[in-house]
Amino acid sequence: MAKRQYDSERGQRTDDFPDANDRVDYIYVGTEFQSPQEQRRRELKGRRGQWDDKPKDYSRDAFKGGFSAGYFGTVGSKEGWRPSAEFVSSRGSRAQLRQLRPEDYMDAEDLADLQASQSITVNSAFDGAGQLESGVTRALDDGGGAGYAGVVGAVAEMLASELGAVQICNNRVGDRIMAVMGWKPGQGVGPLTRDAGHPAGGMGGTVSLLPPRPVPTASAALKQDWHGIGYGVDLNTLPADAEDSSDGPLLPLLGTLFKRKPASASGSAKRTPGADSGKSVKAGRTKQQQQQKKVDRQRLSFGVFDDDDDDDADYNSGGGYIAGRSTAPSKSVGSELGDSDPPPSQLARLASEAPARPAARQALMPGITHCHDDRPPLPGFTLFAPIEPATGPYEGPSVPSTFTGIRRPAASRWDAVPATGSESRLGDRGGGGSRSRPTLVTANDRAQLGIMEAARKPPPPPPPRGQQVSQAIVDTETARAALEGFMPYSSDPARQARYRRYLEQCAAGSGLDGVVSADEEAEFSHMARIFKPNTAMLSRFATAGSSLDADSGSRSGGSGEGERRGRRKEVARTVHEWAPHQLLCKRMGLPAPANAAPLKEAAAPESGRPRRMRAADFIQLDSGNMPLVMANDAHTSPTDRAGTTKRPDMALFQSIFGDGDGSDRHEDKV
Amino acid sequence: MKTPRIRHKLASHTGSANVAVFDTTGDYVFSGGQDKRIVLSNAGSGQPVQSYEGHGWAVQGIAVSADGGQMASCGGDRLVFVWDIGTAQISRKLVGHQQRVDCVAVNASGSVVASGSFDKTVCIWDLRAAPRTPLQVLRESRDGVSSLAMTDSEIISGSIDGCVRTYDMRMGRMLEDSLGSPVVAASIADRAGRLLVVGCMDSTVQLLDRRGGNGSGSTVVATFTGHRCAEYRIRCDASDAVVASGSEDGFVYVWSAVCGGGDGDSGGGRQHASRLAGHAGIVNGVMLHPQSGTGSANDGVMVSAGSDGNVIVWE
Repeated sequence: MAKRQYDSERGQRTDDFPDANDRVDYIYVGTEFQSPQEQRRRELKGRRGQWDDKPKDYSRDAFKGGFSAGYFGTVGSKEGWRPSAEFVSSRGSRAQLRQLRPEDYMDAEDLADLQASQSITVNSAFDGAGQLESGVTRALDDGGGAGYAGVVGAVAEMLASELGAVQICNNRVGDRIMAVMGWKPGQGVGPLTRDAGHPAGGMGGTVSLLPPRPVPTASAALKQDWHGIGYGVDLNTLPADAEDSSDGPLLPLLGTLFKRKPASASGSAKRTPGADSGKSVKAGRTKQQQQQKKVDRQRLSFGVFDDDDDDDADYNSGGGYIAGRSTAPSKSVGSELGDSDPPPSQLARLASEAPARPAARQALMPGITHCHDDRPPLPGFTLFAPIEPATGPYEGPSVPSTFTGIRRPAASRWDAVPATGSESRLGDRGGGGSRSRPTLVTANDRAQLGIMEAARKPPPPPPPRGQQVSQAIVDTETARAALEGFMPYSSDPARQARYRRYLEQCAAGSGLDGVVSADEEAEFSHMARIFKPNTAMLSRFATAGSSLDADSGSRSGGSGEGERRGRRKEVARTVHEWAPHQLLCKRMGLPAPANAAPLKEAAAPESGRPRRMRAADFIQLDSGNMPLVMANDAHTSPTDRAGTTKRPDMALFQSIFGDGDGSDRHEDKV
Repeated sequence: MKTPRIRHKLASHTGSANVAVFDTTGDYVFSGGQDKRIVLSNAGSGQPVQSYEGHGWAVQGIAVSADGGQMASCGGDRLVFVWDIGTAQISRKLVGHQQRVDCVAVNASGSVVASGSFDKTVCIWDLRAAPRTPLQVLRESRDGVSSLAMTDSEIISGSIDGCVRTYDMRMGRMLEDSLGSPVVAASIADRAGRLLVVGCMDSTVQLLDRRGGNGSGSTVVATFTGHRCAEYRIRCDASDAVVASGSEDGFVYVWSAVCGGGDGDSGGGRQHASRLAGHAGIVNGVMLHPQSGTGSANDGVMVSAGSDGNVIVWE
């Protein structure tokens, strides 16, 4: 190729114009001048408005003043205006830019009014104390709430599990914050605790770490009424041995549950809370002390008044304490404390008033005497094993053998149609009933389908040589096709080789001998499925040696023309009605088809005028016709507009609205 | 099939040469380019004969009437010009399209011009009258019309929406064949008018047998691949013997059109393309000599237009 020469003198490439005659010394720049005709015409148009014979041009605008520069009164100037380029951020100085608030404009009176109209309330989400009445949830949170007043710790959890109430209390913001930090309702707060003694946790001597038990909060039920303490209870009706009386409402019962045994000389080392329920601890108590005890019982506090007792020292008696909850008096209780057995009547009354429990729990393994926090269970409660789900899922009630189901075949609309005799011809089986799809497939066919379905997949190859062989995830056809397709991992040839080898093994149907690891195999199978090419796409890249074409190629070699054509790809075709214009057919020299658009009669005057709005469009001189908005041309589309218009004479309009001389000649310029 | 070689390389245009066509006799080459000019060159000598200036934008398509007296050209200025070839004067300016006009076709008698545009319409113009508006506007296409061909009774348009629409004026119906990918070139491939060569933007050139059976569409007789057509309009042409196409990689691809090799899917793929080098940019289009396929001396003659501005006559 000749080297490109550049004619710097003329600014042209020389090999564009090898002939020197073709190079020009000039190029056109700018808009071209109008022809002299047009210049004259413009001149004439300008002069048309001359009303007097003065030579100067007469402007009909009523402007009498002078001109002013456009920038008067603005920022600009004769030289122009440029904005200052720097942008100063006020981000740092926002503090100084303090906006005035409405409060700045108010005097003391207004401020007082404003504050009087506002009221400050506690946000319910942050109001911890207000949640006391939420019942179980509260009990679950902190292990001791007023809903189960006095129920603490492990007992609360047992209750909760019984009731099935596993609710996450998210009413309080504090709980939510703790939940975000990993706390779960029912846990305590603190480092994980060891649980060496629990048999369920860990095997052998391993130590399991459990979250700490929640600290039971001592809280009291809010007093909802205006009564004084002791309202409704007549102290005088209480029996003399006040400790075991259970008359009246719940309050005394609670007192008996959690009352500490008063100091007695004999049993000072063995105090148990609540152990003296149903027992008369008369020894060592004066009448006044008993009276005081009565009063104390009304109050809903536990153990507070027995300062002489040491709580911890009492927790050395194991076994279950069944106070008021079972019929059998606990021998151990009596024996330990040396007190007389509670009167059976008291116990029976307590038992009857207690809520009925479901079946007794199994006790824990006998070695376990303490709860998780190494304390004996609270008086009145026993340790028990959680209920195991007995025998698997619940199977439901047994269905009687006479039950056949409630489904009725839906009445088909064809049930009412009388038989026409064509059922046999059409293979209709039996009258009535709704047709369901399975009935259209005969039993034979279904069996055949089943056989074909089963036969479609080749049986998995036996694992060779007793090695552990994984089943190929990719089936043989996919592997074979994927081998033809795109090979990924082009940047990692070793991986590509492994991929290829994997595919070859899959295609061969033999078991994989562990060339790829399990996760790589999953990835390879995924890749194989992705990159398995469609045969349609494959045709674009088909080479002479493509194995996928081997079948079709061999067939086409010897087949005839018809068979070949039958396998060619057919292109979807739709046929539409199309109406050629009659004039088009005429120009093409063809006979017009039946649906050709009719030829429009001349409208010859309009042929020179395309879609300009004309007065005829707006004025209705003919009474009956509607004016057309758009001009009706001889060459418009075949779809006819509604109706035709009779236009008045063009000469009439030109005389009225006259364009004068030759304005329509503008249309010649395109 | 002998490998064509360059007979003449005409540096006709500044900028890309968009289209190059033979006239009916095959002695002359019309080429239109980015420089808004149409250049008529002698195919035998390689000398430019005439230059037609008048377009306001790049020239996108040229069609020559059968008698060699009139030429229609279209371009990006949304106009279709009808030239008188001898005097190089514009005899008609056909205004009507809203977007650039990509293709133009003239019927054999030179009385009807069809122009297809990016505005999804095909406008049919009547040259006997002095048309201000098109004789008929075909709006069935859903995307720009990239190519047109006209036979005695049909107008065939290929559109970017992937359909080749045949407007049968004799039967009064329109057959819409939907190929998969945008169609950038469609022309009659054989003398009988039965085969259509269609260039698609999935880098294939397909030969369609238009005479579908009752209710069935045309069938893909052969598919030719190897070239690249994915971004630009690359024209192709076919005769009874060869199929030729331009390509975006700068080569002219020529396949043998003898379809003894098999069915449409794999047979065409097996045909190896001859790649002809000569252009520096993309090859915008190839046209075969109008007398090719008849075994005459002009059998392998082609003209190709490249984006480097060169028009190459091959033989």
